[in-house]
Amino acid sequence: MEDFKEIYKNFPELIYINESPSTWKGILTAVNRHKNCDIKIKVKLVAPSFPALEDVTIFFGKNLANLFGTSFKNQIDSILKRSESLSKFLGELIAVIEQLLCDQSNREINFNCETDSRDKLLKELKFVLSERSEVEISASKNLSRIKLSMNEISLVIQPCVSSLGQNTWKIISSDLPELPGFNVCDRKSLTLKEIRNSFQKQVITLEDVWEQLRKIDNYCWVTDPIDPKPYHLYRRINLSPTLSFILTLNPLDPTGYPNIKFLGAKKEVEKYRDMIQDEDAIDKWELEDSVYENLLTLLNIDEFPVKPKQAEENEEGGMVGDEECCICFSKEIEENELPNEVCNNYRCRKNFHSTCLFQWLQELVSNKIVFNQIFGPCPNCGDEVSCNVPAS
Amino acid sequence: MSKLQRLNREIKRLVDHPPEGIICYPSDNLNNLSINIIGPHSSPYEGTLFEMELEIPDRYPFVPPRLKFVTPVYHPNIDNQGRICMDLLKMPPNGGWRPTISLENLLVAVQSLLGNPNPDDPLMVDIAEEYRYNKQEFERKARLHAKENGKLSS
Repeated sequence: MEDFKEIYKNFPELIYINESPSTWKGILTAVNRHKNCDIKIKVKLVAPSFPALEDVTIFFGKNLANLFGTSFKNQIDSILKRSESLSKFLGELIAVIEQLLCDQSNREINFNCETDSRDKLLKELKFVLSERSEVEISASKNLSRIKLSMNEISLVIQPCVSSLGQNTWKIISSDLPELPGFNVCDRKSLTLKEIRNSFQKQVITLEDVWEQLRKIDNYCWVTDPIDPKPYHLYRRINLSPTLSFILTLNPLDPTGYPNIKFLGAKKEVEKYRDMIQDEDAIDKWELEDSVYENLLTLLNIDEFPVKPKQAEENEEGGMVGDEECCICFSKEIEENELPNEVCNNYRCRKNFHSTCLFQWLQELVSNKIVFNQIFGPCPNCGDEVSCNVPAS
Repeated sequence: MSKLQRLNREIKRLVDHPPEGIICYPSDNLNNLSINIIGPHSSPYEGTLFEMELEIPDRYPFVPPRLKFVTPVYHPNIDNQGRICMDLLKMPPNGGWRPTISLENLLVAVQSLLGNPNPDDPLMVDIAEEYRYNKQEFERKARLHAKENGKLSS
């Protein structure tokens, strides 16, 4: 009891959290005399035979363990052996930690290899920022991310070290499509300046193809990509509800004869496929004209159909309605049977027809049948659900 | 009985509101669908058009559909025959198929598998090793392979 009070008095930030085994959790405060500041150490202390000191274990946060290594562990053991009470042990422990902190500061922890590459990066950054360029460069505070941007196009990269010890870059996000001949990651050890120049060159090169695509987006019924981004070099253009084609432009030859693939109802696809494979058609393709105009000529139409207005918008929402069975995706099945089973997990609450649910649970090896009830995991959330086994 | 009703609805939705990079047209035979998937951004398959076959078994949705690539793919989880190793395509207890998964969910999952291979559950052991230990080489080969096989020509 005496010891208990001592701990309470001297280490107020340690909280007694469990009786058997006796456990404290909280913070010990040590003073770093070198830097003249307090250091908070997270600990968990377990003393199964308290107030005796047998089998006492103490856990530290990761950073402390990494700092002091194995000899520290041995030191703890020897303090434990010579201490009379837990409070004295803690007192001595703090003294040892303070001593270690002092030694550590004198030696200056060896972080050289990391600061090396960081210094290099800083130098590179300073250098590219001192040059005039249309590319804006910014870096996150700890230099883990570097962002290049130009004309609202951006590239975010992360400096990293390859397994061979070379400095390389990893692309975190990029608005750029893959462009033959340009690849930040392919060649090793590019400098920031080289990356900036390559990025700028790519953006300038791509402007032409983006212009062609913008025109198509404005005048055609594009169904894919839903929200075109600069890296999308393809468009799926609808000609009718049953026929569309995928157009892919070559970024290095934006107005050249593009890749076209028709998709849809077989007969129509065949007709159009023949049309674009005709040699005359390819001859008629004018490199001077825009892709949009060339497509009109190629397909022999005056204009592209536009997206029907009213059909869209209102039919958003999920695949399955709230009142529908999530297995057959419908509300009513034969004989006006409505979904009559519901998952009891209040966050799931999915509806099922008992016939659908039964049929699924029956498929599972893990099901259980008790009297006329079958039990198994809910096909949506995995919680247990059950339903009646049909009579016959 | 529930199969046709559900399938019609799923296909209608896929045709009318396709997810990005997934193209599906209804065919005369609902049990065999031809699907096209466009390789996702920032993967070696970016922009490549992959043709796939989707076969709906009679007991759908109580058993998973069969899905395979017709266009060859260089990928740790896709073999030479176009078969895909993906948890969702297999029945429990070994797999994760559930009847609440829609065709759309499945196709989006395959598209995402293209961009995020799973080398821990490989079908092509050599490619998985390469992906794990020499990612640059893997990406180079996958890119080249996709360019050669997934040509967007008519």
